Amino acid sequence: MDLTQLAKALAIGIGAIGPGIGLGIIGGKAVEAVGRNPEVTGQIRTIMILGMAFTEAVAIYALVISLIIS
Amino acid sequence: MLESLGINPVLLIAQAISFGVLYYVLNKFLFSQIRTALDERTAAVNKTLADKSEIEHRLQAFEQEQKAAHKKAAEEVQKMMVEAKDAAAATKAELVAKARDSANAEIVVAQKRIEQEKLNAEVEVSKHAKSLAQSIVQQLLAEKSSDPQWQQEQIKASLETLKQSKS
Amino acid sequence: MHISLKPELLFNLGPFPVTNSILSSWIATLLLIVLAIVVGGNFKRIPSGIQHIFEMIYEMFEGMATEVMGKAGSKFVPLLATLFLFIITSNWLGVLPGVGSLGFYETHVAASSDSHAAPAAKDAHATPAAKDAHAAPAKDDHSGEPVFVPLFRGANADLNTTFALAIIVMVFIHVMGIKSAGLSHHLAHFKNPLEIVSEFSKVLSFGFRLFGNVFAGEVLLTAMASILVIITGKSLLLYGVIGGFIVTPFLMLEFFVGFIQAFVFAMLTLSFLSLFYKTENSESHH
Repeated sequence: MDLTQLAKALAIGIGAIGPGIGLGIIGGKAVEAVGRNPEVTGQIRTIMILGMAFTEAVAIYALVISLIIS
Repeated sequence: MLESLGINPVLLIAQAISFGVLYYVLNKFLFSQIRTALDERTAAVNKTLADKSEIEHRLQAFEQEQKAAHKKAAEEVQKMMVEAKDAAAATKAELVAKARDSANAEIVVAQKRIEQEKLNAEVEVSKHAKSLAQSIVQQLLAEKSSDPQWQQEQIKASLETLKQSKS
Repeated sequence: MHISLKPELLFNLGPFPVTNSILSSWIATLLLIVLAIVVGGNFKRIPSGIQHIFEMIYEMFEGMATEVMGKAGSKFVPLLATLFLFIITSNWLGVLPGVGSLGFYETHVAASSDSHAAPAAKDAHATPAAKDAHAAPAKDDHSGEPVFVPLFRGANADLNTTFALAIIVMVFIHVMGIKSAGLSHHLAHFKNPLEIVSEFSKVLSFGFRLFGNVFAGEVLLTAMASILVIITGKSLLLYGVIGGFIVTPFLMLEFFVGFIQAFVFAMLTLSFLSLFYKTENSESHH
């Protein structure tokens, strides 16, 4: 049994859980905010994209780690 | 670690330099021009807005001026009309008075003349009558003097009247 | 399916190794330079075409910079716009067909001299040979096989590019911080040693975020293309029909990600810059 394959899969699989939840929260809150006051949709979108970029970075680190494992 | 990620200092520096070149070229050829163009556009827009407000200001002032002029003109016209009415009334009164005066004067003159003429006529008539009476009397006297009876009668009558007037 | 984390070496220009990703980044740079010179050469008062796009991007960053940093922000718009333009151009060039698939097969000729020495026990030798592949490439039994070397590779799918950008940005930010606040004021930010660590982690996160997104996109597209080949076999008609459903959405996603990452890189630069750059407003408070 080749454990490196498992390690790669676990690295990205577990690493994507947190960012996944985080992205969901960010998106949901952004939709909520837009629903509450739609006139600032543009600003909310910018902030949301920035937050998503930060959150996504965590998943990207996991991906990089899983790619480095060999 | 760095090797397994493929990081090579030479390549890193090369990429940095190429980005620096890109930044320099874009800044020099493109962004500086965009910068000036945007500034010009902003200045133009600001100028247009300022012009607009000034024009509006002027228009307002002009309108007010016009309104004031209208008001003044109307007032003047009113005043002139009143004046004209007054003047007309005055003239009318004057004319009427003048006319009356002249008419009165003429009437007086006419009356005077009429009186004069009356007087003249009376004098004339009396003259005429006198001469007529004289001539009649002369004729009658001439006729009656030849008749002694009439003469006596006459004398008697006149004596009678004298007697009566004495008594 | 073979995806390399490193850029492949194409040839050596003297001591300088020309890799496929630096070739792509040169192409993107050259494209932008030519566009800039052409547009800047006949710059019109009333914009049209490409000039309009450049002005739109410039104005977008001008708006954001002045919103974050006040009037001083307009000074940094050229850097933000250049970052955005370079990243988005190289990302979109990386999605084009031919990038990653156009290339040539290369055989390591130097290694083939004694590769036929042990042809019999190929499977048995595989593990030990892989272990000391770096030490003695001659014993690698894959050395005789041709290796595919793509001619182009997305410029940002190479950590050299992304780290070069990240380091430039961080150096720029600190130089601007020192310039605006003075050295002693600027160093006052780093009384806590954790702050220094955070500065290095900023570089890492900048570099890895861009690299990870672009590289993951490439992996995704390659995986989808492999699935497509597995499903359709060799039927070209099926390839066209199913490919439209399988690969096209991911191509669109990659175009979107390319834009978002360029935007995010510039935005993060702006917000990190605003942490250290003292504007006139904050100076008057002191």
